[in-house]
Amino acid sequence: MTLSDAEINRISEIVAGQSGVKLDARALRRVIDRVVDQLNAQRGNPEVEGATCEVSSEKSAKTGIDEARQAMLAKPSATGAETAASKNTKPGDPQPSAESSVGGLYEQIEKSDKTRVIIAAFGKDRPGVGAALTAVLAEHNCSIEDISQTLLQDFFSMIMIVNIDGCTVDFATLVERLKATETKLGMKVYVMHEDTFRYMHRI
Amino acid sequence: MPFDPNEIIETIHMTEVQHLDIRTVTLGVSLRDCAHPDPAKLTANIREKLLKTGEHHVRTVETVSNEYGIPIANKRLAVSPIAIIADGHNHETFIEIARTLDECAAELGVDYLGGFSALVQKGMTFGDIAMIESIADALSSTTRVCSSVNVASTRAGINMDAIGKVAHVIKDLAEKTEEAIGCCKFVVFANCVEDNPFIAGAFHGMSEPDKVINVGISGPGVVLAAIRKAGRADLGVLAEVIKRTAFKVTRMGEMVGRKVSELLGIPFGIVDLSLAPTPAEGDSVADILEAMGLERCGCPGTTAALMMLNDAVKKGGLMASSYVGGLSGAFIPVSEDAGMIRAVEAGAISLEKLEAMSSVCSVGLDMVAVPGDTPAETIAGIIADEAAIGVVNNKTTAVRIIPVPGKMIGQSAEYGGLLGTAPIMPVSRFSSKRFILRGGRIPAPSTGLNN
Repeated sequence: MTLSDAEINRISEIVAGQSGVKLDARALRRVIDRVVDQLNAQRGNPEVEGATCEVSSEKSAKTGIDEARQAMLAKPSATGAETAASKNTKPGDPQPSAESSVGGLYEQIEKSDKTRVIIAAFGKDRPGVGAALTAVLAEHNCSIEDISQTLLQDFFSMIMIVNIDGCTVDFATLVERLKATETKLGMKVYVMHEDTFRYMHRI
Repeated sequence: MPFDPNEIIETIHMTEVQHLDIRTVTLGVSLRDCAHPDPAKLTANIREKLLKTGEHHVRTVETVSNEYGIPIANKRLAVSPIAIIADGHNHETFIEIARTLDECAAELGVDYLGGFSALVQKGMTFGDIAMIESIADALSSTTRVCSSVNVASTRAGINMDAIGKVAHVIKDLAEKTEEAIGCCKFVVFANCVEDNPFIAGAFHGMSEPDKVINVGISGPGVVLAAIRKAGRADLGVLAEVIKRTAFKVTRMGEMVGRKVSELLGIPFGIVDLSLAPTPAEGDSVADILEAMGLERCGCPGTTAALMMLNDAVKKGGLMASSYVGGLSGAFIPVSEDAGMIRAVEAGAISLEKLEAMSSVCSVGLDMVAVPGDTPAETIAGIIADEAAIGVVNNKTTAVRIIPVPGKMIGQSAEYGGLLGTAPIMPVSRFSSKRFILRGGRIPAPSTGLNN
């Protein structure tokens, strides 16, 4: 399903009328296309059918695209426009540059909503290795999303995926604090943004 | 977990043990809007533009490097060819411009700045001549400025007058700088590319946007490790191993380029898929060729092995990046590659073999030191030979040759850092003088006329 230019302009006018923000037509089309894609994905997947769609109202998720369009026409700020736009096209940023439209594809493919880092520690096993690292993370309000440990004879390795969205210090300081445990533990600690692995190992 | 622990360990191993790094993130800046008939105003314009555009370059690259855990060896600048920007100016002004560029590079904290360049494949304007004649003085009075001259192209043929001139520039430059280090900053091209991020040949092409981020990858160490791990595989399997590795290395270049470009708000240009060696042990293209089964780099089979390596790197890299450009081919510099130095010292490789190798890879006779008493006409002949290979094969070739004054075969010139150690290589003792002195332009080959 593709909306015509006239329909897009009409939606843009309604948004402007209700929220006082004039959305760029191109940006709006991207937002709508994304919502439609999500709905399509949900419709094609029976497991999540009927579940609340992340970016649109419960009703539109259940009843399909045409309703979604109507819902959007009637109540734009409550549906996809605002939520899905929040990352790429903020309502307060009505004129996305030419580069952001090119970058849009990459953002969709490669960016997740969360800032996650991979923390890996290697060294000789000794008590307190995990505790030392997790204490630093807890102190700075970072949440561990996944963790894996292996012990091969005396050699210990620990890999964590950590969400640093709520981190109370900047990235460089966090790395510094984590690295500070190296000498104490006799281990090597590496901290790298998740995207490094995403780019290298995923297409 | 979204990643296999082995994948995570592999990536960390690549950066920690196998020297995976991004060789350079180069910011290209157009100086076309800086041209002015008044020399003082011209240099002031250049200064203002460079300092403003490059203000955040180094810091941003370092931030990306730290956050993503990928070492980035160099931050560089490339500017529009100065001979075009300052056409109509005299010798003194060109030297003044080189000093301005050097000061800007130092203030911005970049390692090198490329673009003190002229494109004279078909003929030279008065500005081109003044600029080429100022190169020796300009490079000997600066430390960060790099220069290049394009003397030939598939469409224009080979400008033998220009080659005669630059050969004398090389000799002058060698005399004017200690151990002829000035020659490390000067390269002569055929079919130069406009988006090359690598020094010394980087410049910001005339068809490029106002500013652009270009990335040059590295990674011979990673390819070497993969080949060693593959063991007794046949060459088809080996090509596949190289391809897969090149993909991963290039992805890092693509990521770094995108992140830096996003943070700076400057468009992302290209990833250059060149395997660039460093003098560090194991980070060597020659070692790769030897790991493929050659006793010493330079022995029969070397050209074939290099062709396969170069091609496999491209095939892997093409999928990994949306915009591939620059030189994109394995580099075979002598002084910057520990394996290559060993091969020269063992007598396994000669200038002539390097010349043959340059027909299947990027870019040519790079960082080769020759005896200080090599005549300018012989150097011109060497450049003309390289240019001929480039012109007829529709590819880039280059010569960065260092006639080290007072040094003979068996000795070497020490530069340290990424420039490494250059053993003096033997040169043919027969003269090219009468051929070079004819001058003129070798017409474009029929391969260039494919419309």
